[in-house]
Amino acid sequence: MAHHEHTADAAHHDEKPHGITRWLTTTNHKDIGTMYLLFSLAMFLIGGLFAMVIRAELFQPGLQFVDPGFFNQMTTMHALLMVFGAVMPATVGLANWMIPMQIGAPDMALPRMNLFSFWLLFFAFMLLLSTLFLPGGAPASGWTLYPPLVLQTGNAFPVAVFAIHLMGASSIMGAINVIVTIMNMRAPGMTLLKMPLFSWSWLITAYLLILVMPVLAGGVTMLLTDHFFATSFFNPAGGGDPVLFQHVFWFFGHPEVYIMILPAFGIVSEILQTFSRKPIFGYEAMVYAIASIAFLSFIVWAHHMFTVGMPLAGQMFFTLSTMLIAIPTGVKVFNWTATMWRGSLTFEPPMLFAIAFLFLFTIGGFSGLMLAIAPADFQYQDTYFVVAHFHYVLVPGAVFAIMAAVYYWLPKWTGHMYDMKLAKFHFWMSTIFVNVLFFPQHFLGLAGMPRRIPDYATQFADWNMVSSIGGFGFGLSQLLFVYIIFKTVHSGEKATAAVWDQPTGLEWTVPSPAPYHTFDTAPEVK
Amino acid sequence: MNDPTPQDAPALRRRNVRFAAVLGLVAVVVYIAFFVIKGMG
Repeated sequence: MAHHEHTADAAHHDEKPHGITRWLTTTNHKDIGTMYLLFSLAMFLIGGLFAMVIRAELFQPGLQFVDPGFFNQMTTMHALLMVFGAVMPATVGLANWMIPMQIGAPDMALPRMNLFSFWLLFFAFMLLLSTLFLPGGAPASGWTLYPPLVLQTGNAFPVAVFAIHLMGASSIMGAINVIVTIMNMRAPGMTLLKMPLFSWSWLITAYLLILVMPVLAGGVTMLLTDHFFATSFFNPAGGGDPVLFQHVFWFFGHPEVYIMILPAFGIVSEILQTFSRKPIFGYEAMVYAIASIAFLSFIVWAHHMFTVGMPLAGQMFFTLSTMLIAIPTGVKVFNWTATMWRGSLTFEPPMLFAIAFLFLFTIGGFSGLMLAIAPADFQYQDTYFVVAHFHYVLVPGAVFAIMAAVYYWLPKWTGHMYDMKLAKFHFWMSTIFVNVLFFPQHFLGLAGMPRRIPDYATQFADWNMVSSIGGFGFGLSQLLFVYIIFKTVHSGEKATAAVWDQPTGLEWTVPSPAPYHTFDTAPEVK
Repeated sequence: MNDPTPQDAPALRRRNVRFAAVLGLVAVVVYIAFFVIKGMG
């Protein structure tokens, strides 16, 4: 990638409004990115608190702290907050900050819609969290919202459905903004196949969002009309079928998994090449692999529901199509490894998180292959093995990649270097405890412990205690992450423009912290 | 709202809004399609 000399007057470009109105009315992509990231951090902490309640209850067999109904509210809200409130907004925040800077654009294409998307999301989550205080409590059916169970939700039901519609609308608008920005606003010479892989991964993710968020909205609208307007989409008494909801939900739900992980792939690609001091191995193959994974994500949904009683041909199709995903994913893992091969590796915090991602996400991928085998899945369905699988994909997968991204770009955002020793300590604590937390859950699942229960047979006691200790350790470690971020905002060694040793990408050609307005005049990319 | 943004370039702004409208329409069509498919089934 060609470098651009940033010659603009940084002082002039750093003029920005001050005070609370700046944050309420800003249309600046960096401000909106910061708001998304802070919102995501808040949801990560609240969702994490709910997880602590779950792990405290499961520390020992028997009922200790909460009643089963509240336990179910905690599992449901934990999932909804982490998926829609923490991981997705974090990647949207990173997209807002980095995509315009990576492609040489002055801002997102539709800045006012960008701000509207953020506040819509904020309002959606205030609504969702408010359900905890309604009579009957928050939704307790699990994030999958399966009928008829979800229809037993109390006053929270219409509020939660409305919140899901709002967050869907917010995501779709955010996705539209990303696509239009990338397609219409790249700097001269920034062809698609010169774009950094983070921007590429987001372009594909945005198309996924536009195609599947309306499906979730359609599904929950049908739930709403079944509940309040006597329709029978999912009610057998009126000719409906509850299994239809599972098809609709997972037609959204499986691509949703990739919506969370594809930006993580982009982040890890950027970091591995910087800290290996080599260009990414097989750039075009990486782009095609992301596109293939996105396409395949549309034809695998029923592997989440093998046990509903589908025909053998259906089971075979969904087993094989799911296994196909291992091919482009294998290409990515191979290329990441090949990028590091014979590179001048250094192990700063972003690189540590990226390498941990590579190992631990792959563990989650392998357990996914086990779950893809229909006859075996009959054993694993609804056990802690599934919980272990998707947490390996989402925590040391998506969340570690987001933390890697924060450690990678934080000096660019704040103009300060963070405390490397403390960040490395945060990495080791997180990595050790995340494995103590989730690895034993494989054993529990294989031994037959069902998921979403507040109590369990005594044979599962030991590994549950270990898992809970890991959970508390991982939760506490994240307070260190919060401390490091806020300390870096206010103090720390001054960061240079490049920050790291010769990183590639336009974002490293502007000063640190990045001026409030970048690339008012488009850079020339050779 | 005084940030220099693509809104300062009217032709680009029109292109952006048109493209966004098309993408928004795709989302609406997908949303409605599920009801139509269910209605036919």
